[in-house]
Amino acid sequence: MWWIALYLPQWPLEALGLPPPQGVPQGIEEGGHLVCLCPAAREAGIHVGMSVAAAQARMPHIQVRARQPDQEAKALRTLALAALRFSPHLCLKPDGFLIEVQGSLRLFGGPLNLWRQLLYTVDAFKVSTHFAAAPYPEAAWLLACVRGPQRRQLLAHRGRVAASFPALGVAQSRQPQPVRQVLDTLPVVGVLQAWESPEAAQQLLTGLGVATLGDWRALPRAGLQRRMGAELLVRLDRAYGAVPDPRSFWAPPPAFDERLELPERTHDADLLTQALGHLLQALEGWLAVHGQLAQVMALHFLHEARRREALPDTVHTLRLAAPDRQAAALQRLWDERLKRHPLTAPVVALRLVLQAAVVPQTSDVQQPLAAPEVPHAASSTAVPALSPGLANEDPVEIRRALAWLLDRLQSRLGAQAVQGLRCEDDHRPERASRWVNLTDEPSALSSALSSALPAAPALAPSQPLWLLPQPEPLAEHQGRPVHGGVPLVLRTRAERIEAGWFDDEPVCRDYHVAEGADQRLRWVFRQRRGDQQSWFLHGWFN
Amino acid sequence: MSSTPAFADLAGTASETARPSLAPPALTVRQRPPHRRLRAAHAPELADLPGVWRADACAAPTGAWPTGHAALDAQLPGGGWPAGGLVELLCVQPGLYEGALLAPHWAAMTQAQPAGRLAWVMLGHSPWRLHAPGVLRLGLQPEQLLCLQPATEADAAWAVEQVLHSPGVLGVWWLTRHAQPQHLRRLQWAAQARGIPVFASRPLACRQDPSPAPLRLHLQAGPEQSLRVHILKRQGPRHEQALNLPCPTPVHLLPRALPQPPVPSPVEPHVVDRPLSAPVAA
Repeated sequence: MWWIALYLPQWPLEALGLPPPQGVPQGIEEGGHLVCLCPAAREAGIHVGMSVAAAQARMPHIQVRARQPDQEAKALRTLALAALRFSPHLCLKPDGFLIEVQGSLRLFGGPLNLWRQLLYTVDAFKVSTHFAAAPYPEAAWLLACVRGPQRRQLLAHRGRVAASFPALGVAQSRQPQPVRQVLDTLPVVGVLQAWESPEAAQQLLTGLGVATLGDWRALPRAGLQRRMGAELLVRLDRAYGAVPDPRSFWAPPPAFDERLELPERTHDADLLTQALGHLLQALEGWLAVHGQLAQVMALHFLHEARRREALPDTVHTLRLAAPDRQAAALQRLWDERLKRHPLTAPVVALRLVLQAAVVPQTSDVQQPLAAPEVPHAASSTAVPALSPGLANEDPVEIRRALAWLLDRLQSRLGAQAVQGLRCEDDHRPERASRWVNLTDEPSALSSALSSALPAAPALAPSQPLWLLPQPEPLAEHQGRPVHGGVPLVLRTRAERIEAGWFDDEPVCRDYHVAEGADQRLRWVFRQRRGDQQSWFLHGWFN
Repeated sequence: MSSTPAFADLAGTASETARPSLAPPALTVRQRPPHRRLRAAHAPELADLPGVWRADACAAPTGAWPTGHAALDAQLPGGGWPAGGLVELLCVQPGLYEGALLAPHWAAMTQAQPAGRLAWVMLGHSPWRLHAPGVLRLGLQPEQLLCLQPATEADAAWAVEQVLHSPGVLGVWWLTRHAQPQHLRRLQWAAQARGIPVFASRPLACRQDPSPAPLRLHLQAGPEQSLRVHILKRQGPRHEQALNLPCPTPVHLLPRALPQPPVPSPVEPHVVDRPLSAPVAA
């Protein structure tokens, strides 16, 4: 087992998403006492546990806000969802989480890579964190909470340090310290605070002259258990791996519908992009746990009520031809989409809803997870060489490239501007072709991307490439249609199209190919309905 | 590079000296009267430079796609559409002339790679709409088309560039009326890097405008449904005589002298009942 603990020391403050402090000290209070302080306030001599009145007397301009446990839990859930990408075994705590990654080590290319990627993911949320890793969950949690900012510490299974990590800021001269040795040096006071144990136990141990966990464990167990009960000792044993420590894992929500409050109402595109990035990270984790790829997403911009009238949310929907789960790729598509749409009103919150997801096919195997920071960047920037190996390109690769292309095009141009053309079984020219929205209809998409095309008809129809949206009435001169002031020469006998009696749009026309003075061929017809028999121009041959 | 003038004969006659023109991308070697001895050391290097060709012959690019029209192939540098580059097609009504010209090339491309697609980029408010049976008549399948209809010219140029970056697209046809010079330049680069020609249909009014495209054609209707092609610009000598490319007619056409149908009487007999006034086409 290999546990990574992530402890968020400033969580009550940071969960509210306050803007970074610009000299204004901030604090969070609960029940009249401060529970969390920004560094600026701490430097000024304010400490946690102080009453609000005392803090304000010492520092009149301190901003104190009430603690919002609901908001904290919601924001922590978003963060935990993002971490689910690394392992589904995650235990939530009120101010952090533990994640068990033994099974994912190989997938992510070893402990060093996994560790680096986890830091990268969490750092994107811009929260202060304490990390630690250990073979036992309680040990990892204690190390994270008590050792504080030494967050780059990595302790491996069986007390051996797997590697030295100069890249992570661990000094190479440091001796490998087995996890028990490290735990032995932890101060008892800090550990008991992390456990929120009763005051009496702390007094007892300090009274006995116990400073570190090593001292504590050296005391005779039977006498200690008589004095302070078994509960704390069992917890201590769990931290040292002496007793089993079963944990129940967090079950992520069955549907993805996350909401992210913005620190303040904003027009700022950068801030919105950043917030959207957090939601997409969470989405990626959710999709990874469920083994799915996102296909349809809806992004809601929630606006502030104006003059007591609630403004409706602005909703953008993104439908992907190439279902994907990687946050960076999705973010690129969303950026293209959002760039085209100005905000109608300031935004107070974002909500991302996953409307449809698909299980990946074996043919579209995803990129190796070991390098998710550069998700198919190659496809968007690298220019493929085509010339001689045209026929040698892998059709699967081509299909994937086309799907990405469709996504990129429709995210900027809009879905209605990226269309496919299909033949319909109808003799009426107006209905012989049908425009399909490639990303809306799965069947249209699959036929758009498949290499097996329907067989071409043996006899190609003699119809023009271009059709006028509405037939243009033509004058008549001596029985011949006139276009552009010149009578046309009919070069074919009549081709009668008579259909539509079955659906109330009957068509009864005699079509001719007509040639004008400019030697271009036109498609004209003579209406044969009713008494009036008039000529119309309907299309152009190329 | 076989049709590049081998410098051996140049050096052998020792009759010409080479002077590169100042325009950097398309370097032309001009012939000079035989009054100076050729410096043999420089000669092979100059001939080997890419983009250098003699003024009286066409350039020999490394690759070209056959156009499917033998008469046109003979006149184009490399013997076909350039493998990478903008091809401008100028005509009075962009859209009406190109189909027959480009269909053989596109059909060959899509046959070579059935998974690939053709992208046709036209502005959303075009005066005509594509007709699927007409696409079939060109020898293409409607399923092979990606029809992009952006709202603005800038979006269209962006879309063409995106399409060029995708290995799944084998051919690009861009119908544009007001293409900006910077867009044309950018797309010329993109097409060069990609290795397929981008066909840009522009109105004839753009004929006098400078253009980065290495190949510009003027398309007109010729006699008997042929296509009259005049090469306005190519990497080679001036093209004097316009070509007449025979194009397949959409349907067997009756002779022009066909007596026209009489003025219809108020009670029109059914067409099947009318007497035939001319021999029926096969």
